[in-house]
Amino acid sequence: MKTLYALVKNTFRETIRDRILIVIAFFGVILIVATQLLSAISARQDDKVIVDLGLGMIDLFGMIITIFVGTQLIFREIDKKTIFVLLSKPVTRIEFLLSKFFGLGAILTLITAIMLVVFIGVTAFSTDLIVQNGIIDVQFVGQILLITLFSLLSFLLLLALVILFSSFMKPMLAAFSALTVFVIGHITDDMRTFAMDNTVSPFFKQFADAIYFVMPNFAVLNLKNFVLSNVFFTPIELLAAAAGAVFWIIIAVTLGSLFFSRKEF
Amino acid sequence: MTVFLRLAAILLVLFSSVGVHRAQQIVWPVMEDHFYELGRNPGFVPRGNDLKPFLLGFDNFVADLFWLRAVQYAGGHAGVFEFEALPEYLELVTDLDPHFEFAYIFGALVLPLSQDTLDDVPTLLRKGIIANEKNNPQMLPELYINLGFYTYFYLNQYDEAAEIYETCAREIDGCPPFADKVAAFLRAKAGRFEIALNIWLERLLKNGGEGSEQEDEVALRKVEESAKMAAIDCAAGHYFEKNGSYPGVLTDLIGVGTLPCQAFASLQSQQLGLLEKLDNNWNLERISSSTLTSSFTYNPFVWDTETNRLKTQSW
Repeated sequence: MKTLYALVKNTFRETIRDRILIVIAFFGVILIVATQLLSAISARQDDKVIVDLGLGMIDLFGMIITIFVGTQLIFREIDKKTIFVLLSKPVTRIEFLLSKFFGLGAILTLITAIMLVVFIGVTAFSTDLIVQNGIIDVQFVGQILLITLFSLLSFLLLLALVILFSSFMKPMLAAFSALTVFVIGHITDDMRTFAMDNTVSPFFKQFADAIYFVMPNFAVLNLKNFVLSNVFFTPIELLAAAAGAVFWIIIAVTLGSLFFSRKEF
Repeated sequence: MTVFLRLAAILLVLFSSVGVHRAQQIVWPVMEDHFYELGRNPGFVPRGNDLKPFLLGFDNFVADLFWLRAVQYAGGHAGVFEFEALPEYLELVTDLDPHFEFAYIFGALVLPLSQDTLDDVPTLLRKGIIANEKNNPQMLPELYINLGFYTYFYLNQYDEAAEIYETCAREIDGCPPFADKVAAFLRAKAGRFEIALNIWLERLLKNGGEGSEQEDEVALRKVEESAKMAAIDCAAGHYFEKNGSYPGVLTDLIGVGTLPCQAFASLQSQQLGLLEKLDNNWNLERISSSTLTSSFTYNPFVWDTETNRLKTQSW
């Protein structure tokens, strides 16, 4: 545990100094602030535009960071041959892989929190959604926190997939594969609904069902489309979605550890 | 050699452009259902529902971007009042974000300004009602009110508009309290005085004397007006049965019996009871000169000889 903690801390320190990460996060923050400019031409829909675009930016930049930084994590260690130094010490390959997941996971949490704070600041400054007559709208803030928490869960799930594929693929291929699973994970719901609603072949119906169950469902983690709409989810629905994500994270990291422990350098 | 190469390049470009044009002719009829026709031009913006799976959950994000485009488009064409592409933009926006309330309202306000897009309003508003009736009913009152107003103001379909307002008042939580009043007004405008009477009586009964004094006074006045107009309308029907023609002037109806009449048959016993209680001085059973003139500062009834229908000046 102590070793894992030291490795996580090291991954965190190393990654936080990464220029790509800083540049992406910087642009994320700038664009969240810039949503204010777009709201001026939105025909009095400032609230909606600022909230939708702000939450969208948090999601978009979280994803970009996960893919770009995540695929480099293992590859860089192998490329610079630092992995040999590490693995020659009493560090298991599983610990090494887990440290990458938790290290970048902590960074994603930090960056998401920073973007969230900027977003809340911009929203509070330009709309009445957060502070109304000097009183904080706890319900709205809670909704935003919940949406961002689920976004963070989807970043972590994507990160787990990136780490899984990075354990046996080159960075580009790993990024492409993780993105493919991410895309499929977003359309499984639609595919299943389409198969149920339309007269399609029984094979397609079974295929849609199979894909729905064997692929992580990213669509259920995406709550941002329901902000400001008065559509609420039950705690059971939310818990089920979160539990599903945690399940897939465990599966992906376990599989990644399995592949990585058999990898030959 | 260079000359030949250049010539070949020019020919290649020419053939390519012909090829692209030909390909478009072949491909477009197959694909057009999946793309918007922006105004009169085939557009390369995919339909919302086709686009949705590829947005990876950024539906609202993209809907807002198209919304900004729609607003710019509407602003750019406001001078000439031509919004050919606006219905498609709004359809795309509302496909991507069915809860985007203002997109529907914006359409209801702007599209009727141009004859070309006038007919697109009900489709848009009804789409909003269907998309939100289950999981976002807070939006419904606004959509119903706008649909009712459009049907009344632009289509002059008073009965249909009244039905929309009545549905709103009866079935939709949060429907503004004026909805049933507007419905009654429209029913009277459509010559359906018995329904207007019904609505006003219902309002009085619902209030149970607990409405504000002013509200009850208005409701009472409207009950009286609707009851009298229903009675006069009924008397006109009797007059027609007897004489084979409608009266030339209202005073021809004096003395013609009104009840029994279909107009009052639809009233519930509670409503009839209330009407009888209020009816003491109105002489609804036989039209008298006082029915036509009493308690009104001006005579609110006008007999329209063109349509053979009773019209009102006060509503």
